[in-house]
Amino acid sequence: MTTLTNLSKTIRQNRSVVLAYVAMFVLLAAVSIYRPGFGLGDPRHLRALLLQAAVIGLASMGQTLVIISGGADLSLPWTLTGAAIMMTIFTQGDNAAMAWAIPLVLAGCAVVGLLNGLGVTVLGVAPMIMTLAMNYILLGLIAGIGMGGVGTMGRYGQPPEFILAVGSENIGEIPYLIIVWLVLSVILTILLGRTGLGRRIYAVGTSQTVSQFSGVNVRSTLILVYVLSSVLNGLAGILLAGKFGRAYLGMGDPYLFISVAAVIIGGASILGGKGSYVGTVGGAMLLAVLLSLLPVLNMPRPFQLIIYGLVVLLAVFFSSSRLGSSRT
Amino acid sequence: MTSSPATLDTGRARTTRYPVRRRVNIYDLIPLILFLVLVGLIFIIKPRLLNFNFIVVKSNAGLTMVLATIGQSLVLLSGGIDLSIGGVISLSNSLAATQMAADPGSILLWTVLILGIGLLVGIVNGYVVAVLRVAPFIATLASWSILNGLALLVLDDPGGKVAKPLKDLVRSDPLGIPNSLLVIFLLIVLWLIFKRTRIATQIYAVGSDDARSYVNGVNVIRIQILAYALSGFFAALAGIYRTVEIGLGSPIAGDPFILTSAAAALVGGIALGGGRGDLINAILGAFIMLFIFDLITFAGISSFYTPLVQGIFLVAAVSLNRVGYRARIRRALEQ
Repeated sequence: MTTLTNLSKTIRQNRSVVLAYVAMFVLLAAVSIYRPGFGLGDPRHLRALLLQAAVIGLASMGQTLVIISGGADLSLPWTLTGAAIMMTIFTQGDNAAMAWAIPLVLAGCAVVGLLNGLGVTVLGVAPMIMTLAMNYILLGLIAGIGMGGVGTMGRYGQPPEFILAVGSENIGEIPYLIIVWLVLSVILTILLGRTGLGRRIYAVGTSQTVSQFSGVNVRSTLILVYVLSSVLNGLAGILLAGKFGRAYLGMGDPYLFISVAAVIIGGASILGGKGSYVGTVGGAMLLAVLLSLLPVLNMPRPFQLIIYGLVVLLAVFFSSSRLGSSRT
Repeated sequence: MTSSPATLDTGRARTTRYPVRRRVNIYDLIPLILFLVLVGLIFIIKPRLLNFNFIVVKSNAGLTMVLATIGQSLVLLSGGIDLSIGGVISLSNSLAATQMAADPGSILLWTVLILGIGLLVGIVNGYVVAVLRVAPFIATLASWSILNGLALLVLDDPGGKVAKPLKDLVRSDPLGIPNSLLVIFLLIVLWLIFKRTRIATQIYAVGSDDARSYVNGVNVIRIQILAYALSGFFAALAGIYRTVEIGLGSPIAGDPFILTSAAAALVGGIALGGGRGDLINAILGAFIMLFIFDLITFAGISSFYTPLVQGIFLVAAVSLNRVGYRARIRRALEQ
């Protein structure tokens, strides 16, 4: 009995997360009935869906942390692109070079995150502006080096075999990428839910003033959040280069909107203090199902954008309707 | 958040107007100084550009950005942010390039329709933000996505063309100066008039502190909806002008303006979070962003580096503004 009340309490507390998953399953069931052979009817289609969700989910890891801390990471697109391109340039398809190239690239991402964090905390620039400016800076730097400097005109060689294998091959029937995503999801969920850092991130996102007076080092927490976010975005870039088989300028651009959408659909508040990676996973899967729905229903691609927008609005509306005047 | 300006005059009854001591603050001049420095550098690198034609070319090229920045600034002043500007520009650009026929009746009809769509989108944005209380960032991001989808339905690839009479009208210069420059001057004059009205004061007040504005009798919902509606209107206007400037339509024409309009406004000293800044400085901010590109190109550096410099300018300008704001607060406290 107590477990049941506990369960219903958990559901009530995480209404928007539950809603994202329920909506995803309802849509999936609807597709499976409407078009047998799609969705639940075909394991291969399910696997493709999961893979699509993994791509969205991987690109939303850093965004989840930053949004919970009360900011938004608009430097995601070019951190992701930059990591992917630098990794390919450094390794030139050589597996052995990965040993130094990947740590170097991720360290570069950490510097980007550090600069974001210092801008937000020390200079006091609003997160949205600081990360937006950083996105411009990275765009200029990478496009400048990639197009003007090295003179490769967008050809950066191939990602190493290992990264390609992780991005596109299966172990048994399950793609490596999904396994990597699963492992990272568990790590992130533990980080947010079970560690002191996780609690500090929620605290800072809820109220910086109260956190400060409660003995939380707001400055170091925020800097760490931005460093983690950039490193995770860089990691996503490297993995996506493996999935797409190459790195290219602008490869990160679609993920700015999608990552924010996945995090918000997953029940996070853009004002901070609320959200979870489990929610983001739900949001990513819902977006992946929606994405696959359109060709099935013979809807042209533009509807994808219209539906994305409506789904985000609906998600925000549902998650906030009970809270009355509080903004989400 | 700070308290509302001293002249807050929103009551229906006669209220006392306290004289505001106007002192020129060096930090208010940052955008103008940056603007002049950039222009100076451009002329030093390319002295032969020092002629009237430069002004014509720059005001023609800059008007889209100026219009987008004005809309964005009004929303920023009211405490929000409008990311749907890109969607409105894309949609109005696509509509103008495909629907307008080369006769004055059709041009007039579609201009009115497109501006109406912009207003409507703004009103819906304002309603979602002010009444449904969705955070502006999310609300306008969602409407950007929807509008981009609609633009793709109108025009799936770059194409269409500008109606000839419209182009001739916009490009004519009956007064000897280009219409774009005339429009910018007109907008500055309108702003100087508008700034003295009660509505403008209320926009500043809502941006400073919406709760205190509310208890002081400001209709916060109406003011927020108005700010977004004006933003939608100016974005639609920018989309139509963009069609004339580029000569064709594109379903993603507006995307570059989403974040650059905000960046230009912020470089121009408008505060994110609202309540502080001036539209004239924001217009200068729009030109600063454009001149950075020119300067880099003229200096022989690959133009791909432009965003790098723009990003550094953005952080520097916003940090300087913050320093200036703090200095002002300190001085006010000392008095």
